[in-house]
Amino acid sequence: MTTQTGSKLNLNEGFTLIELMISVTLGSLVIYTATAGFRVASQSMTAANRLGVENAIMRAGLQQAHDRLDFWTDCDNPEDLSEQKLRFPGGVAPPPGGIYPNGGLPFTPMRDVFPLRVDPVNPANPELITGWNPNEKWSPSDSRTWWHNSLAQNHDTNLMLGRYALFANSKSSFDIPLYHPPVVPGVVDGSKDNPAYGSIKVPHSWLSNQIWGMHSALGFYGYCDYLPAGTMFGCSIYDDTGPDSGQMNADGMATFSLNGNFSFSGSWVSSTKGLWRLSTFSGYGLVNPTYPGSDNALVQREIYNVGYWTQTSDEVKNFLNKVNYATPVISSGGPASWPKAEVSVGRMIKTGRFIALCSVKMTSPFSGETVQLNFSSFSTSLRGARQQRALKGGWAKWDNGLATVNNDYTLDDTPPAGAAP
Amino acid sequence: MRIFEGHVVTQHDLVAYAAQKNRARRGFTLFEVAISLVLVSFGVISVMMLFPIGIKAEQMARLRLYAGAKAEEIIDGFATLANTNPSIEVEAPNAWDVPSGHRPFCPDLESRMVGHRTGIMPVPLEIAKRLDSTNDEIHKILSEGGQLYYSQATGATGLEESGVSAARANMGSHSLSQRLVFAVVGYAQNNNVPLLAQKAWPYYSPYPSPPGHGLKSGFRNIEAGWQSNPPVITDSAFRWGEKEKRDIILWEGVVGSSSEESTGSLDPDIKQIFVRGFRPYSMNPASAEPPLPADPLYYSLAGATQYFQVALWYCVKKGVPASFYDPAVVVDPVDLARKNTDDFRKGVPDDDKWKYVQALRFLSHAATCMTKWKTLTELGGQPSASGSGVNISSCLIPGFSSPVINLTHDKIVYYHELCMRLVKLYSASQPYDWGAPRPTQNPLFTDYPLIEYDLFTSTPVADALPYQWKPVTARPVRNIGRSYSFPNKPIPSSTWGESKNFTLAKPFAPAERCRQLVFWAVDWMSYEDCETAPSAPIDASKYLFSAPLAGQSFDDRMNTCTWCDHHLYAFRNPEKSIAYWDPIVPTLATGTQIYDPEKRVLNNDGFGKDAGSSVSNKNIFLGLYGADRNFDGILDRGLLKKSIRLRASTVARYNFYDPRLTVVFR
Repeated sequence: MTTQTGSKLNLNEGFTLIELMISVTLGSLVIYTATAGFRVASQSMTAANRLGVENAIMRAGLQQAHDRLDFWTDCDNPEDLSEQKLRFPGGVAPPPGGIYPNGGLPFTPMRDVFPLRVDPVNPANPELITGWNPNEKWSPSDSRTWWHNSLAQNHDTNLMLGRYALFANSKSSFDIPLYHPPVVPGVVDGSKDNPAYGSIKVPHSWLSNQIWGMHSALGFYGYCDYLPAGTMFGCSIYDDTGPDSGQMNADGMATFSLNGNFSFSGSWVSSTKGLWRLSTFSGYGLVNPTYPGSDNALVQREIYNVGYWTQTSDEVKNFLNKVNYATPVISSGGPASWPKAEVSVGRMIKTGRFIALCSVKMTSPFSGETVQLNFSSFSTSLRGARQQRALKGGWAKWDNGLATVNNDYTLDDTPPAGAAP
Repeated sequence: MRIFEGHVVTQHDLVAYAAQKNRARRGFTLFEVAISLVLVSFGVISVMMLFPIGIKAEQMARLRLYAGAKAEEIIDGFATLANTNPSIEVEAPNAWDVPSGHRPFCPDLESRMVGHRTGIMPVPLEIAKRLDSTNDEIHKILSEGGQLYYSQATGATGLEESGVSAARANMGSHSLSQRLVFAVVGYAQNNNVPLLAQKAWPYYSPYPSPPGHGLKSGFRNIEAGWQSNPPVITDSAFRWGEKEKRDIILWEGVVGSSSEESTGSLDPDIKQIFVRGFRPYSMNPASAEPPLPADPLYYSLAGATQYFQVALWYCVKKGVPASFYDPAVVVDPVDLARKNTDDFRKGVPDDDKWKYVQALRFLSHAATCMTKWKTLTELGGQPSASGSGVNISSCLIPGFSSPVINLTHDKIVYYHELCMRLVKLYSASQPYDWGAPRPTQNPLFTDYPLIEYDLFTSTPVADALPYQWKPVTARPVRNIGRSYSFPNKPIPSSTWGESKNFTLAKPFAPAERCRQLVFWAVDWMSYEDCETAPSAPIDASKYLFSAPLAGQSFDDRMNTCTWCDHHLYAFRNPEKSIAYWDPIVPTLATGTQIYDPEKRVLNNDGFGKDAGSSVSNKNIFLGLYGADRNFDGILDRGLLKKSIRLRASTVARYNFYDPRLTVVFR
């Protein structure tokens, strides 16, 4: 019994203080560990989710950048008339048969700025075709595509090497009158007069007309984009109308100096040049449609001193600022806790290279930290982008696989008279 | 005895039950609790360890985005960047004497894309060696002579490097983007030779044009006095329409003394056109010192006429028939030129076609000069009436009699048309005939012949000279003449390798032209010497070395070329735009401003502190003082000691096509 009673008493004993303390400590440790684990897990989940959201937004930005590279929707949205600012200078369609005083914009239809026309008197002569033909092959074996002027002849020279305007000119027939080449702009030196030559017809006018016509058509970016590799950006002209009428030089070479802009920044060399030389000490860009005055033809015809010796930090920033157009990756902005992200694609020409500079920029709503990814990439050319757009509006239906497919006219086409666009 | 639920319970059972109950109340031992805690902790920690994996996965996803964008940028630049590097020396009698035929211009991705213009730079070798990777891939690349690369902190804008600081950086995350390192895996192929040292064909000239000539200052061989009687030097020159006092040298048509002298750019008759025709007409000796009497031929009808007469003389000398230079009737200049081009294509042996091309080039140029002095009416009108025009008598210079002809407007147009048609046909159909230069204004891909080094004939070029692979072309080169830079050196037939070893036009399996761009992630910028470690070893051909001239030492040749920042994109240290030139930089305190008050970065320094033979120049060229690798303008040092190794995690791999030819896409 005693044993039984003792056992019963032992069974009813509580924890000792030591046991209690140890158990409390251990319990606390377990609770602390669990809490800390939960907190870390929660933070990890939050961080992983935040990174996941950021990555998703970054991916969306990259996808949008590639979409712009392919379709140029940031410059011209064919499905929204309000986003077609680069089609008509000043937002005004030209009068029928009229021309814009300062030339067209990058998305101006060729029909309105450089229409395809055959000579009414001699329609079979391909040299007399004027305007842009999107189906022209520019075959190197076709003598129309050869450059017949003088690479050694400056604008406004004494013509020591003769008159190359006799072989090719933007007009097929014209009169070469007495000409006073100015020694310096605005100062006429009679001692270097070039006598009148007479009224002539030239064998080649197609290429000169293309060079001269495209100069006035789409702005400088489009000018460089459309004319093929190896183009010599100069020709003899005889044109007393249009944006550069004051620069005409029927004998020598046109300087293409609309406001002195389409030229080599090192202006001591005034002979004709190719694209590499023209963009060595300077650059050309497509001014984005949100930049103030981007629908002014002159703004699309600016030169930027971004060459090695000529550039300044401000000039580079100005250049990049004009060509880049940033829009939100998420148009609604998304929840307040999401990063704010922008995407832009800037298009420019430097040292003969066509550059599409993409940028995706994210800003944290909490820390304000900015993450920006910049990279250059392949892009559809401006010519390709214009051919994606139907002249009647919207995207163009186009298929080169079937001869019977009735493709839409694009911004590059000049429909026959009376045809529906 | 008790009965419990049908069982007999004894006293023994009760005692055993009590004892068992007693034991159960004793609780866990401390040891048991500890074990259980360990087990619980293990489980909790295991679960906790899963959460950072999610973060790492997202970070890796971010790095893959960056790697993808960078790969896209690299391939874009690889395909679209021009190879143009003005102001370089490209010709020398032996291929090893000038660097331009080697790595700088070859169409391998790492060769073309590594440099300050493209923003891809080699990770310093000292640091790259500390990086471990799966299968030791990085070490294998380094041990085979390859390099590990990192990206500059900004996008490759294509702008000049002096403007990069104004361009937008990959901000905020540039530590992340610069954490990416990459390399090219797989071997490059034997490429085409972009610039043949013996003669850097193609030579270009405007058509029509006078014989090729240039500034004497650009013609070092003449200045070095290799020829006791330089062919043509004048003290005052016509320079593209302006009168400037410059020394001019004729390079096309100088007289040599070997069997090659009658071909290519070494036709001695061409010299006569320049000396007797173009020079007196276009270059005024009156302003030379000491004063010379004004030449009545300078800028006058008489001068233009004599130029035309000498050009006619050259036509006869080269065997060009009268039907080409003096057609009886010109009804339609274009049609007549088309017909004579057809005759040229069918009737003139290929080996002689260059003579016709050159003859019409000079004839058309000279004839066009007459239009400055004669009006359309004087030239017979348009169409030019039979028997009308300007009568050109025979040349009065003894030994240079030329045919008598009537020069009309239509003939001038015809000459021009024929000149253009002949050179276009000749250039497009005979890429391996180098007898006449290609037309500058109408370049074609066939201007560039296919040349590669024959890797199977490595006999020495001459006794006691280094071994050198020999160039081999798709077809034998005809009428090669001599080079612009070394007209005193014939190009012997022993220069060429064996045609059977020419492979550029052979079929190939896709795998032969596939290489891989591999990206890793590693925080190499956290090393203490991330900005003070010397640049990675630089390929010797990145040093713009001049061709050898008599009397010039090796050091002289290191100093000869002009190192214009804005002309040399493929040369110099790839880290040139961020490299420190000041030896004091590695000793400066962390956080020191590098640009202010004194700019200690080599970028935009004009003509190169890194050019020259002094020890200081060489050290700067080699980048021994480190570089501002994160482009923040201050000297940074990371927290990691050099002795610590880091592991690089593979991020992405991209296969790409490895071309053998230099091609630029648009």
